[in-house]
Amino acid sequence: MIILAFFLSFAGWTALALAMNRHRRDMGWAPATASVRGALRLMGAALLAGSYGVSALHWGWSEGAVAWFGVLTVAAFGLVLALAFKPKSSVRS
Amino acid sequence: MKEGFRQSMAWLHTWGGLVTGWVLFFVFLTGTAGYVDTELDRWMRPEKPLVAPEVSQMDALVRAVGFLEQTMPDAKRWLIAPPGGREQPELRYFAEGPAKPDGTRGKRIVGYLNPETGEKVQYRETGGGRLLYRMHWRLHYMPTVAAEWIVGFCAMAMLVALITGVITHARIFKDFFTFRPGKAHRSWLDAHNLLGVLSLPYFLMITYSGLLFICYLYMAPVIASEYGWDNDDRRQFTDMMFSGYLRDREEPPMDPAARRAMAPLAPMLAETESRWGPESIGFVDIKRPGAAGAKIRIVEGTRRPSRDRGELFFDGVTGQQIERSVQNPAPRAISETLLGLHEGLFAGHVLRGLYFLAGLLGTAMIGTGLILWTKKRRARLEGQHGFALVERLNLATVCGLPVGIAGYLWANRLLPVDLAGRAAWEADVMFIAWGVMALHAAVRRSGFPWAEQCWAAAAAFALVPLVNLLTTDRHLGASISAGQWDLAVIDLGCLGFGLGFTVAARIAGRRHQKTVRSARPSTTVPEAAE
Repeated sequence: MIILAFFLSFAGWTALALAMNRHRRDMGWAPATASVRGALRLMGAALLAGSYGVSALHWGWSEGAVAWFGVLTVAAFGLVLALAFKPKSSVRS
Repeated sequence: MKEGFRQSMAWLHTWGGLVTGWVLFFVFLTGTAGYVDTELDRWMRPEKPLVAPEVSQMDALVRAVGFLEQTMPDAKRWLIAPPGGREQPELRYFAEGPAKPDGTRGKRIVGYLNPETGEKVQYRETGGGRLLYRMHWRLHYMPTVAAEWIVGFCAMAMLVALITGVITHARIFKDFFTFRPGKAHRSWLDAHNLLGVLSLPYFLMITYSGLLFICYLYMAPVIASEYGWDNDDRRQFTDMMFSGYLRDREEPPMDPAARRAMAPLAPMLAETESRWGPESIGFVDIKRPGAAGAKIRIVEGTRRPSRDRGELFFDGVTGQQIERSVQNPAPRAISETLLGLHEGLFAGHVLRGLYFLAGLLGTAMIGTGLILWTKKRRARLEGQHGFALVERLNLATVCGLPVGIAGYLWANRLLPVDLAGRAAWEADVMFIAWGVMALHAAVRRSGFPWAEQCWAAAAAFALVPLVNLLTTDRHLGASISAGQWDLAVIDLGCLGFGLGFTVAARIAGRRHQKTVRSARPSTTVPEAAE
């Protein structure tokens, strides 16, 4: 459960980063149109919300909210470090 | 205003952050250690059995009452916390002796009992993790009120720095994922921004709630305007605020001749267990044990973010339950929740780890902010006295304080067990070690002092498990094979910090090599590295 919450956060942040052309370049992706970026942003937000849902299932609504902030922070740091030090390999499907 | 709004906010952020940054670094680092205070307490008392015995809370409580009846029958108050959960790993008691003839409070004693036998157990005298945790708002070597004012002032500056930091940053969303390593002060700025933005909710919560803890001191005039200034008026306020305590102003004097048997505890405990579930008692507070008007308060052990804990009251002579309603109006509930979030006592292992990490990120944010100040100004100000002072204070704080904390752990293992005033000595060693690092930072004019201090910190932390191995049989091999992770986590954490400082030392050393590339042959590696 906890792992899933982390994973959803990481995926959510990644989608949000892919919605920014600068980070698309970092990851070796071509620039995207506004509508694609909008869709990615929506997807990212949904994934982050899903991460809260999973946290709440595991920790309960109130404690889950506290834990969710922690999970978000750790996942975002993971992505930032991945982007900074391994630009091409962090998101390759 | 000559400058724009953003410039003046940047000015406030820079200078407000700089002058309070060193204290804030101390507050954040020791406060972060507070998230593992129980684990540190455990590690610093290696006399404790490796695996705690399984004793029911009821048995432990009954044994503790038996012990106190024998040793402190005339006490005004007994407080017994049975073993249960992370927060309360041992059977602990507190007793307050009868008031002295001159009216001052009686002697107060805290001790630990063996829950299986009800006998007193003796650990080495240590401040434990608790002392480290207390330093984050009471500092050390100074009166509590003075420390609280200093910390409060700095916390207020922290709140201002957080808000002005967000205003100054401006590109929060554009730079959300941006970290560009290896680009001199640009990298430090990125790191500082990232650390600040990605855990901003935590920082706002922890700083604001930290101020809330001591608001009765800072906002005394607000209370006084309603209740008045003198001590009786203040007492009226505290009684109202903390009505849960069994506080009776008009007490008949305790008459040793008129002692009565105490009502048996077991039925009361059974009643609490039926409400809160098994093994869920936090502590039992017995007022005027064995005297007329004895009262017993039993408090639930489960911790929640809202800090709500069940309480039941009993008459200590008849054993009858006393109905008492404690009001919890909305503002009180909100402030209690903020305090509960600050303490994180409700957090299980994973959440506790996240709290610890968030605390470290806060410490790192303050550290990078301090370093950034010098990185940005080196070209302009290098050689000036003020600049040199900031640079040396930075080094002494960012690297020196961790060495001091490692020294505290070393002292716990290496000071003679029967040394008088041992707990105070442990803290002294911490500040002596820190002082030595500060001295090094102050006098070292050439070479690469940052790398040297990072190596010293790396060695100080990485050797903690070794010192533990050589001085006790509570080393990693024993704790891990017994599955005692709350004990192993301290050794493992020290190894982790050792590794982190090794990486930092190598980066600092390489950076230095680059800047002085061919100026002189590389100096010998400092001895701490070996």
